[in-house]
Amino acid sequence: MKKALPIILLIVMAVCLTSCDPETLGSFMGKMGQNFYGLKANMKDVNKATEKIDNSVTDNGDGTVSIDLDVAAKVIDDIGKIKASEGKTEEFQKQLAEPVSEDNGAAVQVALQSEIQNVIDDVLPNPATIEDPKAKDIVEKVSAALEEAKAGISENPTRAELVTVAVISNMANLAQEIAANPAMLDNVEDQVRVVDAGLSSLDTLKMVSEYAGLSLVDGIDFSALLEDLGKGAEISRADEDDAIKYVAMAADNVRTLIAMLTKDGVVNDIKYSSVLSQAKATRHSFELMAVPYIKGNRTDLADLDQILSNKNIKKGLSTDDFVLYFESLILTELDKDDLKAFVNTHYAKLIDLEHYAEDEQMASDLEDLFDDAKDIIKHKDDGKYTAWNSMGTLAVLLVKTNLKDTIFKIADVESFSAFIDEL
Amino acid sequence: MKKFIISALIILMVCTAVFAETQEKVVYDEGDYALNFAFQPTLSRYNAMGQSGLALQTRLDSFFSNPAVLGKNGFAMSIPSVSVTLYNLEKIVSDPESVELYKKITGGSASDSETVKFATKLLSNLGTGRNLVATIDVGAAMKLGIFGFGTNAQVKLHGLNNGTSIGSQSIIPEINVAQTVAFGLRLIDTSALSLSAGASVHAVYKTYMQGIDAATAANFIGGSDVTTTLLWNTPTMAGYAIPFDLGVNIGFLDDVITLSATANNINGIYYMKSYSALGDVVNKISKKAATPPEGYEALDSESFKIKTPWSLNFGFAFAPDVPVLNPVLTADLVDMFELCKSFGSWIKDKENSDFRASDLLLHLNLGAEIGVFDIVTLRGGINRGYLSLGAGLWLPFMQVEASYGWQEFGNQIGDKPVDSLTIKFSLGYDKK
Repeated sequence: MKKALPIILLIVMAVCLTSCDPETLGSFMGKMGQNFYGLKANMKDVNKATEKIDNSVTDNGDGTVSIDLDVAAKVIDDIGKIKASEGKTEEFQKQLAEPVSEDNGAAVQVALQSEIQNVIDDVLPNPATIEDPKAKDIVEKVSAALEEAKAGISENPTRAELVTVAVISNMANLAQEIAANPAMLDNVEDQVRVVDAGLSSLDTLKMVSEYAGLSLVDGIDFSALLEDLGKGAEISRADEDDAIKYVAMAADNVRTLIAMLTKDGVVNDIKYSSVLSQAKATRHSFELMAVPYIKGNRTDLADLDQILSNKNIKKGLSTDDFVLYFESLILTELDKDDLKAFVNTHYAKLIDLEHYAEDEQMASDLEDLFDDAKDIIKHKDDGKYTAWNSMGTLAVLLVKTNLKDTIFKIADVESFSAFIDEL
Repeated sequence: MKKFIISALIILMVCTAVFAETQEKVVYDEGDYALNFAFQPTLSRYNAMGQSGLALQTRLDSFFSNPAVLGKNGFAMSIPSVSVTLYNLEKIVSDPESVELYKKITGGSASDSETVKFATKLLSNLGTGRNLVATIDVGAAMKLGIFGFGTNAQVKLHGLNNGTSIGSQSIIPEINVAQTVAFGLRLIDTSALSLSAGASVHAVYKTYMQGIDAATAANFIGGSDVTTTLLWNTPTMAGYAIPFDLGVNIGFLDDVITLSATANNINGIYYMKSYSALGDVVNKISKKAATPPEGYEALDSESFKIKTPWSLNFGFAFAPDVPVLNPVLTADLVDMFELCKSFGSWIKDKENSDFRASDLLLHLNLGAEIGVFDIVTLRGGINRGYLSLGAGLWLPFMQVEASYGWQEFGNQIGDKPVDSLTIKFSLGYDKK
């Protein structure tokens, strides 16, 4: 009996535990996950980074401020340590969301806009004077990103905005260097520097930019998708109607994007410019990372096939990065006024996509909108593909994200040039 | 264009690994989310006691982490022991939809899509960075006088996500087979003071696969062809290492108080080769054991090394001889070499060093154990500030153990605490 008693007690305990309310059990389990010592991550790196940003702003004492973008850009060096820690990332993003100046936001706005103009006027060369097509493309893109950034500075700029501008102006310095000496892209050491600059700019933007931190495909229900497409490895092109259903599953993220663009139900010009500058900066970071690998005469698509067999391209980016570049490509190539009109017209449906995903009028307007964007993939002008850098970046990303075989299998092609032609 | 974009979005979420990639080596030991491939069998009691207990001299599995405990002669055997560890349970239990799906699956009424949905939730719960899905250990061990022998087979499913969404999640299966030989010597043996030293050698054969994307992994549970994908469609790395451990114990008052020092995983260098598929590894071990599909062509292997870190650890145990209760208190200072390096960097450059006095707590694991009714043992502990608890049930020639606790998977404390539940069954004889 003495030995039987503990066994009986154990059985009773086991029954109680298994029939315990999951909510209560989950709550108890969650409490055990709190750190008993109350220890939190060391925020030294975060505070150091924030201090750098604050040190780039000087109060002139006469109601104006001066901003040194080169100083703010030094925060790029700290991003690596911060992004490896979820706790630090969260704290850093919280500090980034705070305004640069509590009581003189207008002066900061003016100073930022002035600094951006200085970069456009004094740092970037006139694209018309640049012969090398790669260098010309880089300068044009950075210039466009800066113009949008200038138009998108809010009335009380946050640290995040300041850092985004600093990152773009940092890219402008590199663009100037490339424009002055395009041959540097053939030099291995400089290639590494350019690739690193692209990747570190991208890391920084993902940290500081609300746009770059958004993933439009997150939230799509795998299980329903797989059920509709059929189990197993054979994936065929999805039926368009079914596909829209899955687009609706990204409704939450679409709502977030729409909120970033609009105010009181209509597109706000300043907010739109801000998002566009972030998208352009993001796109340009990817293209900067890819530019040393894109070689060829910029007329023959087969040159892009060579990229996919380039062993120097190291893997290391994720599917999320491929999606982010694709999103940025589309967003930055869409006609600005057309996109504004689309969002304004269909605002109510876009923020309730779960119920309006199959709205025919919206689908038709979206089709018209994307007809513009598809040209950036296949644009030909006198036999030359003017979207060479974009196509090349897609090719590089297929290698870096290890998606080449999968995408080719789905598209039923055997080369990148065939993939582009198929579109 | 719209069709392309929509198709492309779907493609990106359903990245099935239909074809194997090249025979480049696949490594996960660099950057922010490096995986630790050092081999460590699952020790349920150790986990329940806040991952402390280096200085505990009584149990069979003690010699896997501190061979000096073999200095205390004894006999124990477990043939076999089986343990299963599941991770990220709290997220499942706290989600009503997951609980509902689980009930349907265990009740046999879940549809295939519901099963896949549950699998998808399990994968989503892995989050960003590194994580574990499950670990299964099967082993046999024997302690015979001053010698210890152990054989372990372990399957581990790592999760790794260097992006933010489930689209970037991958599952990395790892298989370890290890043979351990250990011995300990009692150099001083008096009731006031004892001194023991020991060494153990582990011959470890390790294989791991290239990460399998989340969609494919979820589909496995839904019933797709696991065998073909794992055996012939996934590049695999395989190799061996012969790490060893050293340990020293100092006992006071008939070993009521014990102090220990161990150096673990010395020479933890794995000599690896890349293979086109697991089937090639199987056929290398046992010729033609696996039949490749028609048209399959194995590529050449690439050799490489994986260095796993060694660690210096100190332990304390207080185990007074109290009948029935058999209470134990343990405290371990783990990974002291890293702590000393960090402290050293602070001495050299206080301004730029990350060291804080509270870091000592991050290297301190505490544990306690007490017997109840002579056949149940209750355990609890604190592992880097995270709580753990567990219990052991002692039946004639059988032990059942369970432990539940949290541990840090992130780079900094508080970054990514992950919970796990371990259930272990052992057949054999072991001292409480």
